[in-house]
Amino acid sequence: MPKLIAFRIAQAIPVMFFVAVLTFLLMHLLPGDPATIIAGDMADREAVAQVRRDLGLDQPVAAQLWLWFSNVLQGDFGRSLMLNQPVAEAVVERLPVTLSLALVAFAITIPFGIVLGMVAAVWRDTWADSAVMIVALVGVSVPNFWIAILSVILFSVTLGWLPSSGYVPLTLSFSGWLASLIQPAVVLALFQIGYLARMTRSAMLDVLDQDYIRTARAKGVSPRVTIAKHAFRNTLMQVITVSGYILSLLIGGSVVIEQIFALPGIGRLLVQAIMARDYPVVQGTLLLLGFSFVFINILIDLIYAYIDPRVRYD
Amino acid sequence: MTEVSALAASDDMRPRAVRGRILLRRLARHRSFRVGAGIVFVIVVLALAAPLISSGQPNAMALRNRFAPPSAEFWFGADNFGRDIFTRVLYGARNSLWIGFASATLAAVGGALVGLASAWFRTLDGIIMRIMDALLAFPAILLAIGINAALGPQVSSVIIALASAYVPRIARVVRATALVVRELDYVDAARVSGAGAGRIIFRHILPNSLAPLLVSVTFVFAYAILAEAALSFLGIGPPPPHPSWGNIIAEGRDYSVEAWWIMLFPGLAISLAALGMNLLGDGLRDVLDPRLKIEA
Repeated sequence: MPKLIAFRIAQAIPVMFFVAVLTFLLMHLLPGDPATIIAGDMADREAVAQVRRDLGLDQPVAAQLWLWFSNVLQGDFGRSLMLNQPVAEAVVERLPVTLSLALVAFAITIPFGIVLGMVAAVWRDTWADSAVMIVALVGVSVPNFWIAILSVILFSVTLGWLPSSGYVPLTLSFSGWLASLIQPAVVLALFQIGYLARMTRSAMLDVLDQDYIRTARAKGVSPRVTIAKHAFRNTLMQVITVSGYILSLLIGGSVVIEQIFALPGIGRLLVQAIMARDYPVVQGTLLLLGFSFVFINILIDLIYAYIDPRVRYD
Repeated sequence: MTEVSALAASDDMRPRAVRGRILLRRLARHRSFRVGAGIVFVIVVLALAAPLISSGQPNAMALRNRFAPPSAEFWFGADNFGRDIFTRVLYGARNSLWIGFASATLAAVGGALVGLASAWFRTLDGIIMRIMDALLAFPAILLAIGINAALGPQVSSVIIALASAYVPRIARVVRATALVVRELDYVDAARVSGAGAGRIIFRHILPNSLAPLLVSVTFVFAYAILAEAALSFLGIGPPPPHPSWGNIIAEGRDYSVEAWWIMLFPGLAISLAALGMNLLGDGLRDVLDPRLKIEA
């Protein structure tokens, strides 16, 4: 296992390197001269040139990349132009909001997606299967920000059950935290529930076709135990491989959902920064998000190896 | 071309034509493919025939009609400028479908080229796939937001952003198939008979890797319609006043309680279009490549 951990981390280093290069190059495509933007509207040519020198923008791209790399490796992601605070600080402040949202949505997605998918597979070609698959299909076809607005009209404006916007930190009050997140999290989870239900169904159908299921049934194991023990466990293996992917998608999806519910998370910061052309923040946010996705993938691989010894000894 | 390979080629044509007819018949019988293709067909026809269906202009304002609710005159109501939502949704379909189609096609071409290169030139495989992994580390919507932010708010940059976001996903699918196909006997046969790399890749490997590519592209089309709407909604999509389904919703958001019709109908249109593409994709997958797994 330690060997595998070391191997996976070693494998991730080139990927993280390319993530960093990509983020860097992306921001160099930005139209307009960052030095002019940073110096502000009132600055004269001297001041702009000074800013350009200070930020190293007069250097060749390769040198700038090197400078940025060495700064990032020291934890320095630059300063935000609109917030006048270090990028790392701004991101860390908002991280709990996005993580809370994504994790609550994840906690909703996993049980619902798996149960619906299994129901569809076990009662294949019945009305239950059709119903689940229609719900799943609608889930992956309906734009979540649109559902979010409709949901606010129904649950917040008309019924007044849930707050329409804002975030309550977990440290302040658990019930307030959950109330502020439950609506955005459910909306965010809808697409993933559909996706996971479809995945689980096809994985389960594959498993139900296997010889060991027939063997279990032939030796007299009841259908319920066959499904609960033999089929469920082996389906779970395939579900775990997509769960990391689902978590990444939830974090990505929160960018849009945070806008609607006015949740002060990373997604909101990113969109604000794009609007304000605050390019150190855009760069830093994308980089940190990219790194966290690579990290989630490693984690899932390791969980997978832990559960399935065949992967470990391969 | 020698006589032998010409013969082999003509020999190949017959079963392929027959196979094509069998596939078409199976598709025509597939229920979700029929429903999906029907929905997509109707939406495309409505979008193309927009000027024939609605006499109005999508950007024509009439302040006396501000916030007119749905009625016989305004089927989907009117917005804060008195613009007819039905007309805007019709014309918006053109933008949204074009962006979806163009980005799916561009992603297919790019993804196929990258995937084939990776599968054929084994020395490049490592570096190409690491770059693809780096791109894949980001959820598509986030990558599209980043690229779109860099390129600026135009229709073309939305297309480039969405296409680049989906290139690595398609490249992975194509690479996996091409790796299998390149080991098959007919590829060896082509090589032995003197075919060059280009000919083998584009005449033998690509046509035989088309099924998973086609299935992925239909799903990418569906995702692209949803992603375009999300980008427009965030205000970094195609700029108003040109209607797209996403920016009609964005504009109607402030009035979502009092004038719910502004955002309701474009949302239904997006859902219906994505549903149609997904159903069509499900049908194609069942018939062409049942074991294929696609990531959003």
